Amino acid sequence: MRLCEAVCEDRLSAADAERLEHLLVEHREWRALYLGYLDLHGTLHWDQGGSVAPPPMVVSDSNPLLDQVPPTPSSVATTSHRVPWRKQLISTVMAVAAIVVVMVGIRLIPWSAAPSPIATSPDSVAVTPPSTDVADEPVVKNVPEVRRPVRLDGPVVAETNKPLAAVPTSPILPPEPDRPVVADAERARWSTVELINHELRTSWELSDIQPSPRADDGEWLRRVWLDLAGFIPPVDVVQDFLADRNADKRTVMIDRLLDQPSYADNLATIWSRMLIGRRPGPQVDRMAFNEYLRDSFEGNRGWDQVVAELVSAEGLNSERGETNFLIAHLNNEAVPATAITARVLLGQQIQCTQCHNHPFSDTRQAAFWEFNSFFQQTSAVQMTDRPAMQRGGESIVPVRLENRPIGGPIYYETLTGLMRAAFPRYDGTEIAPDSDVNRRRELARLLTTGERPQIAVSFVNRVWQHLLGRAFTAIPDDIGPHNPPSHPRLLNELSERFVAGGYNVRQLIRDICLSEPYQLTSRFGEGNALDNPEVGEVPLFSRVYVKPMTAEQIHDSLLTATRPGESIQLGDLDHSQRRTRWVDRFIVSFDTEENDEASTFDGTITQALTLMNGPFMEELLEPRAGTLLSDVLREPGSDVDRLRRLSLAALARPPRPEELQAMRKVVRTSAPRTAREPGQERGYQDVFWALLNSNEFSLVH
Amino acid sequence: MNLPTPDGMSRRHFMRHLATAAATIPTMQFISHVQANAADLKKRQKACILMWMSGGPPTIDIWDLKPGSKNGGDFKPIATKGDLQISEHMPKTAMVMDNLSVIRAMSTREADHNRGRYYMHTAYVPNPTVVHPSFGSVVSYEVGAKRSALEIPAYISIGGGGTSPGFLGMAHSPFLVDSTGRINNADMGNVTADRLGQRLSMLSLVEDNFIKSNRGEYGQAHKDIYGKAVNLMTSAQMEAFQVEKESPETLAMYSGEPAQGRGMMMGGGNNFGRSLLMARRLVEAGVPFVEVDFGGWDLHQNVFQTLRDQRLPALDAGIAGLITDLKQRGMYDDVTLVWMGEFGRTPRINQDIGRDHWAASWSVAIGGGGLRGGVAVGETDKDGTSIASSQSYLPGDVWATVAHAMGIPLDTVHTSKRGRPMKIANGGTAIKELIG
Repeated sequence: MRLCEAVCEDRLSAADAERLEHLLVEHREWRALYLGYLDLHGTLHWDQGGSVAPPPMVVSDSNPLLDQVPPTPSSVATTSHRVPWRKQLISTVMAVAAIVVVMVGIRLIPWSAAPSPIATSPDSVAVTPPSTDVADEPVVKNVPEVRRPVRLDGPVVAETNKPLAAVPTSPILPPEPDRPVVADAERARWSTVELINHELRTSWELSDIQPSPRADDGEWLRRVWLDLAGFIPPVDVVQDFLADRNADKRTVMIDRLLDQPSYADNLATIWSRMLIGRRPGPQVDRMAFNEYLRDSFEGNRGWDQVVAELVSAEGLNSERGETNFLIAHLNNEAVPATAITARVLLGQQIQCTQCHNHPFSDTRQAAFWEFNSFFQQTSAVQMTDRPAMQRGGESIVPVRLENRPIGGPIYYETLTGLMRAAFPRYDGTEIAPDSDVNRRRELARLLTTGERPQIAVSFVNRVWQHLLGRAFTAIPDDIGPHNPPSHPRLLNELSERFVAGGYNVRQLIRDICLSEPYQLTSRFGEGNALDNPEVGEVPLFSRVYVKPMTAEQIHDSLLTATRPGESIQLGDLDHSQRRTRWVDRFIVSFDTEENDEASTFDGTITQALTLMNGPFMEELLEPRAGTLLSDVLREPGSDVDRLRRLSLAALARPPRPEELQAMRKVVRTSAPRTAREPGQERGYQDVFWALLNSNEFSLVH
Repeated sequence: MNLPTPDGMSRRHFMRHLATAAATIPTMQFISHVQANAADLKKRQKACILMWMSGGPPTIDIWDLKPGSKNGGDFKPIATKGDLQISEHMPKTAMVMDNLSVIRAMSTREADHNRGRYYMHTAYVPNPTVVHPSFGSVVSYEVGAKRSALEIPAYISIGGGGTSPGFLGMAHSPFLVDSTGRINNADMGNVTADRLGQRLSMLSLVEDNFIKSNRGEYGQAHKDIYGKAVNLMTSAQMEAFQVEKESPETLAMYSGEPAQGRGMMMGGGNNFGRSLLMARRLVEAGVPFVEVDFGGWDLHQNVFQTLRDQRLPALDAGIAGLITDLKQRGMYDDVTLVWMGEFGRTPRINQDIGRDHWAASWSVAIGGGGLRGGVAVGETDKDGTSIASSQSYLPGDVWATVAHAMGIPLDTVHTSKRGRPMKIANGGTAIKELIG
C-alpha cells in the first residue's frame, strides 16, 4: 500500500519500483490490490477528465470550461493526452501481466498526482469570455487575487499536510496579459440575480446551447411550492395564480412562500434528514432538533450562527435542540461526528482518510484525526435521575451533551501500524491543545471565519442543487479537485456574497428563485439536448432538472391534493407523527458505525405498491366531508368543471383534451343508472387515483 | 396459469378486463407476451441462491477448523461425505457435503461492514465515482430480462436490507420481502378488476403524456416500475412467496425440527430455514437470483456459545435441507448455491472470547449448478492467519464461477452511464477446481 501510494504520488525510487515489481509478480492478491488501486485512481481521473470534456458539439472552440483556460503547457498536454490515456486505462484494467501494468501505471502517474489545471482553476475561469456585452472593459489584471483568500493561489505542494478545508488548488498559471475581463467593480454593482443570469447566459453562449423556454405558470408554481413549502400548491392557489394577470406575480409568490411557516418547516425537514437522519437512536430528541431548525429558519438566523451552534452545543437533548446533532453521532470515538460534520456542513468526504491518506486530493489521514480531535472533549451523558421523555409514542432517553476538560492529542494508527498523535487543527490553524480551551467553540469560530468559508460554499452548492436539480459539483457531499464545479466563479461569488450579507438564507433562496434559470421549463428545448447531467454531462442549467419527490414531499402533497384544508405543519404533532410513521416504514438502517440508513422509497416496486394499494391512499380517496372529492362531487358544475378541478389539484394544470375525454368516459361508465351517487363517486376516485399515482405527480419538474 | 391471485381474482379474468379497458397499455402487452411464452416456464432454468451471512461469519469455526492451533477454539472437525472436514456442529451438512465445496483461500481486504458488503456483492471495491451493480442485479439484467414468462422480480432478497442495482437501473434493484413472505399492499383490496383496469388505462395516458414532454429518464423509469408492480399484483407466481403451502415434512427438513401441523411455523426463530424454502419456491417459479439474509454473525464476544446454541444449528439444518430438497426435485444441477458474508473473523480469539473482522484469509461455500462438490479449494496455514496455497481468491472469482454455472458469458461487459466499460464479475476467473 505504501508503494502504491508512492507510485501515485510520483515518488517511487528505483529500488522501490524494483521491489514493487517483484511483489506484483510474486503475489496474486497484491497484483489485484495494485490493480484496484490504480483502477480507483484511474476512475477518478477518468471522471475528472469526463467532467471537463467538452460536449461533443463544442469540441472545437466554445466550451465554457476549456476555452477560458490559457494555453499553458500543462493544460495542453493534459488535453492532448486524454484519449490515449483512456486507452491506457482500459489496458491497465485488463492487463494480466503485472509488469505491463507497472509500466503503464508509471506512465500515468504525472497526470494523476496533481489535479488537472483545467478542472480546478478558478483563476482561469474567472477570466471573462470575450463575447459579453462588457467585453471592452480594460483588463484588470491580478485584481481577483486581492479578493480571494490566499489559500486558493498556492501551487500544489504534494508533501505538506494540506488543511482539511482547502479549496481545490492548481498549479499557478502564467499571467495572461491580453484577455478582456469584466471589471470587478462593475460586477460588484450587479445584483445577485444579474450575476447569476450573466454567468449562465455566458456559459450557454460559449457552449452554443439554447436554453429551454420559460416554464408555464402551472409548472413553475408547482415547482416553487415543492421547493420552498415542501408540497404542491393547494388547488385554490393554482386557480388564483393562473388567473392572475400581474407581471410580477412570480416575485409576489416567492415572497409569500418565504413568509409562510411551511418554508421553515420544509428547510427543517431537509436539514434534519441530512444532519441526524430519518431514524436516529433513542438518545436523539428528533422533535426538539426539528424545532430548533425550524426556529432558526423561521427567524432567518445566519447560517454561520446555526453551524456554530450545532458544532458547539451543550445541554440537555430535550431543552437544547441543537445538541441532538452531535448526540446522534458521538458513537465510535466521534468518527461519525467528524465525517458527517465534514460531509454535510463542509461538503467534504473525509471518512476514507480516516484510514489512509487521500492519494489524489491533499486531504491526509492526519487531517481527519486533527479534525476529530476537536470533538475529543465531547461527551453525551445519560441522565439516569430523569425519567425518559415521551414524544408521541417514542421514548427519548434524557442525555446531556457536555465538555470535559481533556487536553492533549488523540492517537491514531497509520497503515504501517505506527501510532501518531493528532492535535486539533483546521484549515491550517492549530489551536492550543490545553484542557481549558473549549475545542468545539474554537472549531465553531474557525469554521465561520473568513471571506468565503467552506460552510458557505457547501451551503450555496446545496441550495443550488435543491432549487435547480443539480449542484455545481457532481457530488455535493464532496467538493474537491476530483469533483470540480461546473461554474466555479459563480459558486465562489455567490458564496462570498452569502457571507458578506450575513449568511442570509432567505435572500440566497429568493435570488436563485428570481434568476433566469429557475424560470425555465424542465423540458429539453430545441437547442440543449446535450445539457443532460443524467448521463454525466456537466450541468449547464439551461433547463431545470427533474428530481423525484422525497417521501415527505409525497406524503404532504397527497394530503394537500386530497384534503386542502388539513394542517400539514411540522409543529402539528398529530401530522408530523403520522408522517414520520408513514416514512419510517421505507427506511432501512444499517447497523454500522457510520450511522448509515437507506430509503426503499426511491423508485422501487415497494413504493409503487404503497401508493397504488396502501391504506393511506385508500383513506385519502374516501370522499369524507371536507375533502376535495366531496367538494367536487357536491359542486353544481358540469363533469368537465369537476375533472378540471381534480387535475389542477393534483398536477397544477387543466387536463389535456384527450385526457379529459378519457376521464369523462371513466366517470360515465362508473355511474350506474339506478343509484347514481356511489357509482359516480367511484369514477372520480379512479380518475384521482390515476392522477396521484402518475409520474407527473411524483416528480418535481 | 389460472391460479387465484391473493384477492381471489384469476389472472385470466383480470387480463380479460384489462383488455377491454385499454389495449394500449404496455403492462397489457407485457402480459399477453407472457402467455405466449408460458411454455418457457416448463424448461429447466438456471438460478442462484445467495445465502448472505450478514455481520461476517467466523469461517474458521465452520468450514476451515484449526485443531491444535492456539486459534482453534472450542470446536472439533468431523469427517463428511465430501473430501474435506467441517465443524462438528454441522452434522447434517456433513452428510450432504459431497454436494458442496468450500473455497478456503478467500483474501478480500475489505474488513468494514459496508465496504465488505459492497465488495462481496459487486466484486468491485467501493469507488466514489460509480455505483456498481450487485451480482443479483447483473443476473436480473442478463438472465431475468430474457425470461418473458417471469412476472415477479428477477432479483428477490429475503430478510435483507437490499443492495444497489448501480448503473443497471432501478428495474434491476432487489425486491425486498421479509421471511414471512408477506408483501404489503400487493393486493387490490376492494378494487375490482374492472376498476383497476380503468385506473391503469387512465394512469397510462397521463404517464405517456408526461414521458412525451421530454424531461429526462425519470418519467419512463416510473412507468416501468409501475408495470412491474402491476405484474406482481396480478401474478399467480406470487404464490411462490407462500411458504405455508409447503407440507409440514418439507418445513421440517429445512428447520431441523420435528414436523408439526400445517400453519405451525418453525420454532426457535429459525427464519433462515423458512427463507431458504421460500427461495426454493421462487427459483421453481423462474426467479434467477434469490438472496437470503441470515444475520447475527458479528461475534466480537462469546463466539463459541453463540455458534453452538444458536447460529450453527439453524445454519446446518437450512443448508442440509435446501440441498436435499433441491436434489430430490432434480433441481440441484441448475441451482447454484453461494454462502458468504462481508468477511471472515480473526483467527485470534480476543479477550471477550470473540473474534473480530478479518478479510485476509477466510472461506466461502459454493455448490450446485453442476459445480464439483465435496472439495476444498485452496488452504490457509496452520493458524488460519494467511493463505498457504499458491492461489487465493477474490469475490470476482466466486461470481465468475457462478456466471459460468449459469451460462452467462464471462466476456460480458457492461457500460456505466459515463461510458466506462466494466467486465462482469470484475474480470474474475471461474475457479478451475470447481468447474473442471
